[in-house]
Amino acid sequence: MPIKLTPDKPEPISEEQQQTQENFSILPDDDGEIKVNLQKDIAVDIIPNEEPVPLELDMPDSGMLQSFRTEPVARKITPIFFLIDVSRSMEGVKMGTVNSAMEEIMNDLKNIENSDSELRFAVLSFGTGVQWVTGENGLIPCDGSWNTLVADGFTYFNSACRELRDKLSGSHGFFKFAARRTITPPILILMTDGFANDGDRDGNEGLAKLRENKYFRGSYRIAIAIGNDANQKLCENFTGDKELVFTAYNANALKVMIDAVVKGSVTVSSAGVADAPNPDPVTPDSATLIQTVQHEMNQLNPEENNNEDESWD
Amino acid sequence: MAELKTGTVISTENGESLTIDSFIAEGGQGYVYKVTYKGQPRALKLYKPEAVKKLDWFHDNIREEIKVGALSDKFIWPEDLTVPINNTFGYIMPLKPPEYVDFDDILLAKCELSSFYAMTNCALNIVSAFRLLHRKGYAYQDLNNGNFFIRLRDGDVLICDNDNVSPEDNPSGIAGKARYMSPSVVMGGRPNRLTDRFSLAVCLFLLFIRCHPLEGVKALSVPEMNDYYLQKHYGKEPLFIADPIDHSNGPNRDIHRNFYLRWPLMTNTMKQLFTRTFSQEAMLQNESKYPLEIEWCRALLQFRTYFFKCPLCEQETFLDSDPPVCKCCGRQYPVLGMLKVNGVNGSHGYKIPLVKDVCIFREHLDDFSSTEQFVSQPVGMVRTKISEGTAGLSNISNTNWFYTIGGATYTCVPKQTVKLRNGMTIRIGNRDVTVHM
Ligand SMILES: Nc1ncnc2c1ncn2[C@@H]1O[C@H](COP(=O)(O)OP(=O)(O)O)[C@@H](O)[C@H]1O
Repeated sequence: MPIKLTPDKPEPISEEQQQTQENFSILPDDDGEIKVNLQKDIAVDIIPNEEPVPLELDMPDSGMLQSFRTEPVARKITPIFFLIDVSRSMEGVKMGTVNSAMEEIMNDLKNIENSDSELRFAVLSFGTGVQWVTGENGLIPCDGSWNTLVADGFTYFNSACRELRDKLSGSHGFFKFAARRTITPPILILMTDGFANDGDRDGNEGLAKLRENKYFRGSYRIAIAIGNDANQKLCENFTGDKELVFTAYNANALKVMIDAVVKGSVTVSSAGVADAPNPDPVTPDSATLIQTVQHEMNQLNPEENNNEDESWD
Repeated sequence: MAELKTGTVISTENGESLTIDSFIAEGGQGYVYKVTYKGQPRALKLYKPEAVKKLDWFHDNIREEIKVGALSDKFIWPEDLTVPINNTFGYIMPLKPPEYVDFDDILLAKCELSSFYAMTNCALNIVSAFRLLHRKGYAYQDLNNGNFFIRLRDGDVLICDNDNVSPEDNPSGIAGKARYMSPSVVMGGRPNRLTDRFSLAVCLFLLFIRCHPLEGVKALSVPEMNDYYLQKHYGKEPLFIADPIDHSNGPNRDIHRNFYLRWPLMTNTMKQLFTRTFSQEAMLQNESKYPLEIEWCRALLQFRTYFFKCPLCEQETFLDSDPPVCKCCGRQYPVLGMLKVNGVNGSHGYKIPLVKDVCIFREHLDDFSSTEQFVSQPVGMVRTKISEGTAGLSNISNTNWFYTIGGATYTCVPKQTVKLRNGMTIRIGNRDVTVHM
């Protein structure tokens, strides 16, 4: 059959077709005498359709689509780094707090899936030495599991900073992927109670190195100061903002904060207010982040909220 | 996190009350709960006051939406508002039925539509819903992958998150996700009907091609998709992955396998509509060049008509070659001819291949003019007798058809089948369908 069947183009009717037509037509089309009886002559298959046929029809459940082996859409990667202090002063409840929080965080991260980006993480512990708990090969997907960390040794914070700086790199660090993939700004989460025991005690030395790194400067950072005696100064130096330093009240609080950071960064924040003269809708703004985190914290600690309004007879 | 406990009772503005049954999910702007409202299961969205800048705007907007009522049954539309609770409020809407999935689950390849027919149907449902929305003078503003629930079996669609929907001159201030925003919006402009069309095309591209239209090798090669590069690749210098002139943001065989598999399947019209949407001219100079919903409707309906069951193996196939070869069994199958619905009003008309069980739909005939919402109502169905090379068309509508043979006019009443012959014209409704065999 020479009819062009593909859509979009009108088809000329060819000679062969006319040929077909003659063979095909049993009744003389030009004979006005013949009254065609639908029931007998003209109907090909007189199929009385008792019901109008619904066409969501019986499209088969397999077919060409199933042979396509569709892959998930290509996604960016959202890297999450945990920098966890495992120095001896963390022994006991503090370490327990960190571990159980991380268990929950991991379990949660596993469930955060969206087509905008894929979460991957790495954990750097620093105690006597500095170690990539999740391996030297880079970021790993969150499968939900967490291996308990044990406290030992000093706090090598400055060394941890140097190690992190090396890995925040696309050419030789953790952002070098087999196939071409880009990342969203990384999320860095510091959990520590302590003081740097290698060099500057507020971590200035290591942080100065880190600040040379572009990825670090573009990262979202929060710090969780574990315990009342924690060195807030070091944490503040790390985040660059006092408001992004928190105290780990409980595992849930920690989880809530990380949740907030992850969600703030995975999608572009809707900071753009359309009636501002020149809004910057794609700026992930830390003000919203701070606000969100604080709101969550207030939910958990309502008594902090109520101080002002208390009136006494 | 989940702020409302099961069993909590909340009053609504309409003087009703609802009871919280369970927590469903947390979104960027709020929490969603399953609730009981007037004895019926419903969903409640409770805003996070810290995440929504113009809470009052949303409150007023939703109140207006409730007054107007749902545009069609494809919209999960607000039904009632709660009284203020804990510095915030929520709105009540229909609950998503369990057989509908999040669009994201399809994009993550966790599940798949039952067929390309269903996929195209899904696109038709989405496009015609937005056509309706725009015809009513609204803009959606923040259209992205999170806004659709899809039924895999047939591609039925429910549009959620309608709290942003508002008259075009009243923006919500929500900018949304850069990946879905028209470049002008990425650069700080206001979302409107035209920018909705860009977002719509991104969703369609993702649905059919399963990759992002602007995320070719160039965009994926940036060191980090930070503010600077976001503005560059989605705002200042967006470049289509299939740009016909500039290939520098083209696909990569390893990363964009979906593209290589699926783009060739698109008909020329589909390709042209995508190419026009993501052309430099439309994206950067003249957003009115973005295809209209009606253009998508026409292209998609024609596209959908070319997916049918192979007469030999009964699996879904696509007609894109002559002679036609089944995409599943690889065999050449007979297509006995073509029905042609002539176009009017800038429509090219439609072609319907004479293959068993293929249907003519109301929209083939009325060209989307009489329906507000696409309903996909079949009016005629092709019958074949391959051995004799004959085809018929069954009248599955409830009106009579008329056709002429040799100057005499005959009637085909509902449930009858008319035998088709070359050159014959069948009058269905007020349209002529011609037979080419
Ligand atoms: N009407 C509904 N019925 C059932 N689930 C819903 C409904 N609306 C939203 N959801 C669920 O809640 C999640 C978050 O809601 P969404 O409106 O997308 O939040 P946001 O816009 O704040 O990000 C969705 O992914 C969806 O699974």
